[in-house]
Amino acid sequence: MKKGLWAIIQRELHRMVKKPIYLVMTIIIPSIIIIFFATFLNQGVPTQMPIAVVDFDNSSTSRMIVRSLDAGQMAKIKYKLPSYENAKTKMQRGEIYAFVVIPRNFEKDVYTSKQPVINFHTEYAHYLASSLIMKEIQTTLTTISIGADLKVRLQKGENEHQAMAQVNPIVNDVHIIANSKLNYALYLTSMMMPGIICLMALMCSVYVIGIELKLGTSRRWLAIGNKSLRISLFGKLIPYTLIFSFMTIISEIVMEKIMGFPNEGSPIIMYLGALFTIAAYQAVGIFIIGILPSMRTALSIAAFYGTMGFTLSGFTYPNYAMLSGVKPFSYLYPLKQYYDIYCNVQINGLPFTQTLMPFVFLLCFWIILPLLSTWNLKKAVVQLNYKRD
Amino acid sequence: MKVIKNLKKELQANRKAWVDMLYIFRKELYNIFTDAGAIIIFFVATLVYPVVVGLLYNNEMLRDAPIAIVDNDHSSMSRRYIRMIDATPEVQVVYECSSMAEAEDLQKHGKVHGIINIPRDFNRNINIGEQAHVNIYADVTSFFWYRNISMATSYVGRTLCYEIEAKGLIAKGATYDDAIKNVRKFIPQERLLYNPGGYPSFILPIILIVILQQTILMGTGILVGKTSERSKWKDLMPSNVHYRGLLRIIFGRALAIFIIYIPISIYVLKIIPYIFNIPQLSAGPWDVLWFILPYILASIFLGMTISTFFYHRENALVVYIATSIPILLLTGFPWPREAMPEFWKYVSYVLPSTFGAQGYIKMNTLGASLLDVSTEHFYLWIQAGFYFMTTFLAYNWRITKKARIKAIEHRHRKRRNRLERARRTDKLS
Repeated sequence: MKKGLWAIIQRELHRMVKKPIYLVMTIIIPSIIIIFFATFLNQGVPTQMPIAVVDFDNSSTSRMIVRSLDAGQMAKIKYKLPSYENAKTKMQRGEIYAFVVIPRNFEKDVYTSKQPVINFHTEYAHYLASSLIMKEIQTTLTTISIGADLKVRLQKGENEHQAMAQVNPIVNDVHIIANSKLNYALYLTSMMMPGIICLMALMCSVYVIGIELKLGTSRRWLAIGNKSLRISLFGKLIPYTLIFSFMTIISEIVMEKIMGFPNEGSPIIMYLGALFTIAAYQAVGIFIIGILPSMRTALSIAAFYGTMGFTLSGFTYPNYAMLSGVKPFSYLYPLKQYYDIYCNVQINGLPFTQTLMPFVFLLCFWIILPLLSTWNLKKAVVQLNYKRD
Repeated sequence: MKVIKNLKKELQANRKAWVDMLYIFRKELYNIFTDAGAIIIFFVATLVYPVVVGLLYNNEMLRDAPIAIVDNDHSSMSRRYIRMIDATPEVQVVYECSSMAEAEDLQKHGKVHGIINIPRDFNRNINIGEQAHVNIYADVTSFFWYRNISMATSYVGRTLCYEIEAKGLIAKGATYDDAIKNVRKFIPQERLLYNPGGYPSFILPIILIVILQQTILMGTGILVGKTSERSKWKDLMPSNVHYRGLLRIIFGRALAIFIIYIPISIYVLKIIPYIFNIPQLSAGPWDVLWFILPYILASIFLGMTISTFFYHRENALVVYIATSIPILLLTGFPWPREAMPEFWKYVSYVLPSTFGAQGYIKMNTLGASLLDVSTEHFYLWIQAGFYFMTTFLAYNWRITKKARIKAIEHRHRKRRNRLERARRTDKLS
């Protein structure tokens, strides 16, 4: 029997090609995830979302407002409804995201300076869609009201440049750093794609160690690794480290080259970050299966821990807004460090020397976590006392 | 009376079937409650996960996003602008920088998530009747930074514009009332009808619905994988005299999961929203549960169909866990349905969670009645029926596959015996 690191790696590669579940875990699921996010959000900005108007006035001015609303990029007027109740029901049924109510005698009130109010009703059940539509309607209506104001001033004989400055003296020029086209896919995809691949790396490392314990092959595994658990673990996990890092790097390349996401910094640092994060997740996997050397329990705990990471790492919803006690828990996740690397390098273009901290944290994951659990794992590996229920 | 008599007769005629089904149902419940993996998925995950997610989002709206200010003007007007920005609930000025470079450095190191740069001629331009531009930079690392900063600045900008214009009109001799009325010809007014809680109470109900489906899928996969592991033939069921009819097996198993999901659904969809103050506008307490009934059934049968492909208990967990977030996106709430590519729209119709989330959120958050969501309800029943049929076919396939193997082996044995006999007779003769 050949022994040593290389023998362990060979043994693992043999196992990988023998059962389809390995292929599913390492290649198929990450590929599906990459394809899903690359195609699902390809539109970048949602457009033509349905809204309704309730026009009680039906004058030339109100019709002009309806036309302007329809011309917007995001919203599209799908219904012209006779009553408020009608529009509300449509909203409850989810057929429209917003509706605008133009009051009776609107045109008359505008001309007699009675300052009528146009109410636009929205909901936050579709958070992103409604936020975008709300902003667009607000902008359109404000522009029209400024325009009406401007028209009156021009009729009074003011010069256009001056009148404009009088009506709208302060202009906000909003820029988004590194995302000038305002691509919403960026917010949803940039961390989800690597994040789910990391989750698979965690599940996979628990699975491949657990299956040795479950099937009772762990002693043999240890023997091939010269009775050193460290060599055995390293040889077992290194093929997965490479595969999952490769998948994460592919997801980064897809995002940058195909989806056109910004990348201000050096891609090499991002690739290194991917490698470090995958390895850190595997260390967490070793920790979980070491503390709970029962495959089903360890996998359930890993799944629970892993999915919480999407919320806790703070890229779906800033940690800033969560309870103050929550923030320390985010450091339990390598994904949080990856997010920091992403912010520092890809978005802000910092050089490697200024983003060392996340790398140091990730390194701590590899060093500390396996040390904490290998004593227990070794016991389980040698004793072969896998509990079945 | 006659009907009851007939029913009794019927029951007696099919007595064995009922006994078998109830036996399988009991056995399955026993399996669930004695399997640590199944208990974690069915009870711990559904009980704990919603609470943890709810606690994480407890703070409701994102307030006071940290920003930096670069005031090049140092006028009373620019200071007023900054004070007003700081006073909005959306953002908070945490640094006042002397140069843009300094602010950019803070932003790059994550100390602030937005920069407002007021140019040198800000006050002068306003006074001489020119347009004054304010440069606003928002961080791209999260959607919420952009949202909060643009909301705050557009609100402050609008307010100051009205004020300056009204002042100008008064300076020209208008009365105060006239000036106020003439500032704008009409006023656009935003009315938020539903879900004023914003992001947390938007995302939590979707997660709750997806949790129900995912735990059912994982749980059925685990249970079938376990029986399959135990059985000699890698079979779906133990070799037992009660497991002799497809319908008995399917109904017995589905009933067990269905029964335990009645209290779980009430907990996840009624009690959790109550604890975390999520809007619950649906009319009666039973409406939601009646709506969710086919959702549970469809999930169970979908799970049972897919589970025929699992030969090991753990595989279900590994396969399903990665699908949760795409399933969340496919419900049509985080990303609007109108912007979905056609292909993924069709994929979403396959999942019970799409219609389940649509209906549940329309009822709970938007206050729709059961009648308003009848389309979704109808599709869920269709799905339940369809997946029942696929379960039947898939079980049939797995079981006949086993029967085929057995038949082949039986034939082999027979042939061997025949040969043996022939040889013996040869020897004898």
